Amino acid sequence: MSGAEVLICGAGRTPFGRWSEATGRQLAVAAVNAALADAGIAWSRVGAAFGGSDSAGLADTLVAQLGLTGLPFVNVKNGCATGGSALVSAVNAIRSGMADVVLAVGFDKHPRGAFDPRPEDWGLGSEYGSDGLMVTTQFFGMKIQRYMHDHGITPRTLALVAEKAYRNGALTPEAWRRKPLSAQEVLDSGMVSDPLTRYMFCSPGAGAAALVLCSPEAARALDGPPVTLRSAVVRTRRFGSFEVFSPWIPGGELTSVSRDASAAAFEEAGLGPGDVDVCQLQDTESGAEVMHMAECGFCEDGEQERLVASGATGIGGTLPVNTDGGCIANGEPIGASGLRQVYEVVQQLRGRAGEHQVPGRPRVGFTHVYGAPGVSACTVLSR
Amino acid sequence: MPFAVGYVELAEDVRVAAVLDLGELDSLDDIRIGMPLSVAAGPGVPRARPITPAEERS
Repeated sequence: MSGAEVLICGAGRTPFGRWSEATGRQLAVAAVNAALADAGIAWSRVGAAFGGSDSAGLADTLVAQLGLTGLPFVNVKNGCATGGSALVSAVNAIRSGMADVVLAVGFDKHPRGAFDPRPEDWGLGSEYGSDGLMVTTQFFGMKIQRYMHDHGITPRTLALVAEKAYRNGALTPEAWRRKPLSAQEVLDSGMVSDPLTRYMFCSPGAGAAALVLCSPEAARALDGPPVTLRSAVVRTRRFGSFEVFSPWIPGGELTSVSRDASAAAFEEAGLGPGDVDVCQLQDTESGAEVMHMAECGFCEDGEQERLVASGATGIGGTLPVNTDGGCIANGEPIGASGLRQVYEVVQQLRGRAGEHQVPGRPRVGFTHVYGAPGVSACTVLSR
Repeated sequence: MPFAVGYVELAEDVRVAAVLDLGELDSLDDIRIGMPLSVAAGPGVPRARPITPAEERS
């Protein structure tokens, strides 16, 4: 990363799911307090804060519970990149000298069922709703259907991705889905949007995650083992990308915002995909994880068929992916997911991931979030 | 009731989202990537249907 070094000195999260009557804001306060305790500091030591949710309230109102210290607290709302955007803002606050201890927090709480977007909010006519084209699962199904056709990926590979997610979720105390499921059970769980079955999808849920970022000088005064944030990048789509609710797309080679964001993150970090020991890739559904392996540079298109079957993406594999169960096992509270990913990699690099710890003391981690309407946030971290 | 959607690539180098009607096909399972289609604008979203070999030759 160009500019001053930024360290993550505290990380906290709540359990994800629909386990609690707590509001999204209450979950956020719990995650912030956990991150502060992890860093060994009081709220009064935080010099600036950035955070947000998609549908659970304004982050700056958290000061009513955290303490009215007068700090600048900026609300962030950027869809699936809300957490990543809060993190980039926090990094820039440290690099600019605005503060030496900065908080990033993301939280959300969504109702049961799939998201129900309105066509008019997307600049589309009402016929896109009445004729059945405002269904997010269609987009994911079409994208992976074409990818499987072009690159020889089979439905069994999609099922193996979900099987791994539930296996890792069972090892993660804060995960929502903690019951292991076999690939066959995933395949037999009922078709939603061909080729994606019910248990290949994540579900909207509730949860919160928070990080305490410090300058090197501030970090030296703390006891815990910091993790270096080598880069944090947010990108939006370029012309030619295939995104949800697109009434048309151009012909020819498609662009990828995930490819753009991950490449920028690796460039800023001075590292490459081959240096990564543990990673988090957006897995809204099984196909997303498969495609993002290639879009983020971890393999060539089509290699996933062999890699997934060989166990390479498992906790003991050569490229552990979504070691906490990812979105499939944790659910998707939009504002929190990006920081949940970073939380998990921080624990992995500290050697504190418990039963789902990657063996061999991983040194470099990577996170990738992707969402509508074509936004991606990536980080590279090291110890 | 299951139904099919997809992107239809036009000769003008643009792909249009459309509901895919079966036409003379027996099942949704018979829909294939790359199959020739005709697409029409009308009330609602664009709708496409497979074209017959005769239509393709004409």
